[in-house]
Amino acid sequence: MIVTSLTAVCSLLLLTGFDPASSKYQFVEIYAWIPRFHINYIVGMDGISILLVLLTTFIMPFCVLASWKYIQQRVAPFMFCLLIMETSMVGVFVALDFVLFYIFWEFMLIPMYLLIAIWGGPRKAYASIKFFLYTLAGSVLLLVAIIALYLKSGTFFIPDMMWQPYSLTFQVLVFLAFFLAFAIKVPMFPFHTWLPAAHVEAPTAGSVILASVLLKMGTYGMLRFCLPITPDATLLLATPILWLSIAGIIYGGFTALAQQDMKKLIAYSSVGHMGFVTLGIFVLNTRGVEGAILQMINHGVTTGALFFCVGMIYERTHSRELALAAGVGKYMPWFVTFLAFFSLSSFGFPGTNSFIGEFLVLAGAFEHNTVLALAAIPGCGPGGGLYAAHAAKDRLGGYRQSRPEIITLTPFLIFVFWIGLKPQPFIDLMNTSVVTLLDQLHNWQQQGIAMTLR
Amino acid sequence: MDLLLIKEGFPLLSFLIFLPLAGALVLLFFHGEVFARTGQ
Repeated sequence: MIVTSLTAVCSLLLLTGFDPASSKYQFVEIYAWIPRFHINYIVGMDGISILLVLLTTFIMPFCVLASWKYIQQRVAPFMFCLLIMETSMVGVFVALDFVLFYIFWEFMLIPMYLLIAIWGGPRKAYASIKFFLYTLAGSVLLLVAIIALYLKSGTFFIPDMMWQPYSLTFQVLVFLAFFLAFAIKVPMFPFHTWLPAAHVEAPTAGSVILASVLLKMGTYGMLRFCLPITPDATLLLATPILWLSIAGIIYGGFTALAQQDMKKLIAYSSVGHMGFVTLGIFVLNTRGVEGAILQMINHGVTTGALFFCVGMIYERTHSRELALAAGVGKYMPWFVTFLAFFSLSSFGFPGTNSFIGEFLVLAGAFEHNTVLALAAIPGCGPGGGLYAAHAAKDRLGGYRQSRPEIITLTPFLIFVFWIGLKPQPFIDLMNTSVVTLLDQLHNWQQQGIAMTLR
Repeated sequence: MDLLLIKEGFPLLSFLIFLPLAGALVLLFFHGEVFARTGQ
């Protein structure tokens, strides 16, 4: 608790020293590591990664707090896994060397596997192995792409690999390898099947980390690597990915409607929400990409809070069944109030954070293609609608709410309304980096058209 | 390298990465026997 809280407090210094007007990587540290293979320890961050780093550092103390009563056996190894996860998650978001990035990426796999396999539910072996195999398959493709890029460019320094004149075939192959690795992590439809199993069996803190931070690594990877390293392939393959995102939004939203297990419900609605994020990224305009980044943060806050809520119900009823949870609300009015607000946030109710994110993504989608945007709209509500039904069900019956639980949920609610009512400071942090990235992409596109005409 | 804004001073990002790792290693050091039992 001390370590995670100290990390969260220290991460606030990033905000004071960060210059949002600059698109350069900031807080950069460079140390030679393995010079013979051009591998260095280089870390830095820009407007795209700062919010994700802050999300990670602020989620972790609450994960520890939520596990305080719930985890009674092997507490030290559990906390050990959480701390290793935090190291690797922050590392992934700030690494500017591909080898360093890959080490952090792989580093988080084992603690997450252990969190599910040791402290998980009855089908923990199945869920943990499925999670491990899926993610490992993606990681292997990522490694192949990294090696291929190194052989072409002679460096592992990520910014030096960007905007290089690789051949279209090479770009498409590298893009597909990256895309598959990241799409499994997101997870995008149809690579999502590991997610409901992992969420259902993971302990509360595991589910929260998985939903709030781990899934964002996939979309962060798409934004950080696919767009600038393989721009031609991105432009070529954006349309099928957009339709895959639409499929995910609709499938996730409507499948969530059919779930009786609360964790499965949130997991499937996550597939839909992350579909919005990938939709925003691949419409390739400022509104879409800013909406996507904001939606990553929103999803982290709202879904994290919803998993905490489910964990709190599970501690009392020892069931995640919606029907059996009926009755929680009578003696836990504050808890149900929180749950209702998080539910409203989840289906993008105006005034909450998700409304801003989904609105920006849809505005970006309308700018790109009206049919695409119209196709995404049916997926906005369904998942959240069931939360509302759930919140209504909870108004009968009886357990007691505890003060630490309310303390855990309060900061999440503050962020729900802060981002929902005053999103500008968050958008300002990322704006310069997003505009610069998209300007570079559009300049690249113009150059390509000019070359073809010549 | 012109993309990088290098600030001399306290290595904040490394601190944020390695502080949890240091915490994890301290846990390992003081509760090694629990880890051994977990592995069995």
